[in-house]
Amino acid sequence: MPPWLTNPVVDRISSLGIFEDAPHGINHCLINEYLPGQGIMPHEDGDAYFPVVATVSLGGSLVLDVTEKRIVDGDVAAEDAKELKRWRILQEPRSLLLTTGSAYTDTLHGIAEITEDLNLGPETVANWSLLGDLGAIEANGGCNTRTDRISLTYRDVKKVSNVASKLFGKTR
Amino acid sequence: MSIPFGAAALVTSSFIVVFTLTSAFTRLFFVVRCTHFQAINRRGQTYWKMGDNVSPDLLQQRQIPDLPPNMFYIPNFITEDEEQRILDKVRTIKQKRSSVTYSTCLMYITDSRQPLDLPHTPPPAINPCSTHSKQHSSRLVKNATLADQPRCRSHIVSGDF
Repeated sequence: MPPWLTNPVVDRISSLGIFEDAPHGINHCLINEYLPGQGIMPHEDGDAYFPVVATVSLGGSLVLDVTEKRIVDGDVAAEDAKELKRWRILQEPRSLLLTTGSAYTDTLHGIAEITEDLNLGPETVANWSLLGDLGAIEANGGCNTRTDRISLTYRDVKKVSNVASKLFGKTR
Repeated sequence: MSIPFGAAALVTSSFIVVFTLTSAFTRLFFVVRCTHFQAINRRGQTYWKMGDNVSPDLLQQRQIPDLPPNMFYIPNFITEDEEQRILDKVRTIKQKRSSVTYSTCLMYITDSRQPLDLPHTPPPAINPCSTHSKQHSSRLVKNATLADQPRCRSHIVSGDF
């Protein structure tokens, strides 16, 4: 990874110790741009990754929707199942969101394709008490107008090519 | 009489040497840490003390309540200057790559200093409530391997984008 992606972010994430058990440490970064109105359907991250994800948000804020994952007859329950638990997480610019454990394995996450996140408050946003700038949302009547957001997603890709490993050796 | 005295002197001198070395290392460690903190503070980093061993407590304080364990949220993880630097870099890369017109989706993997353009952002054809399709993954693998082979030591075999 280039230095501008590792310094200072990777060093700081590493110092938290959350990637301590990861076989390679942070070896992968995905950069996504979300324009207003863009989102991503609820999904889970595959088992190609070590089950820790660190997401750094840049630019604008948006709400990440987290849904309980329930297996019904060997398949994941439909998205609109009413009994599923749901949470909303507001991701502010410059913030870090870490997901691991059951939150990684037993939930789905997605982003609604909307231009405004409405009805934001202590009752509806799971991380309300942890937000850095409550004033901005409160002043806007619990509404977040989306702007361009770039997310940096840092992970440990568990599986690497056998050919590459033989040619270059394991990374760690 | 001389033997016990010699032994005592040897033990004493050994103790002094060990003590001096330990003390020196401790001081050196302390100085390095302090210098590091000062450097961080000078950059205006108020929320984060990089290098400080406060992670477990910090994470406990930052755990998002009510969710399955564990999700942590840390606001102001980077400064505005650091954010701007990264944004500038991403925009520069985006401008250089005329093929990326819709939005940006770039991937870096170990030892890769050049970005790999991914087909879409966000992936449009993901089945709801399921992991991403294997077909999608293998297409990315092909791209990654071909584009980044010279610089990359690890290649993704399967993935979730």
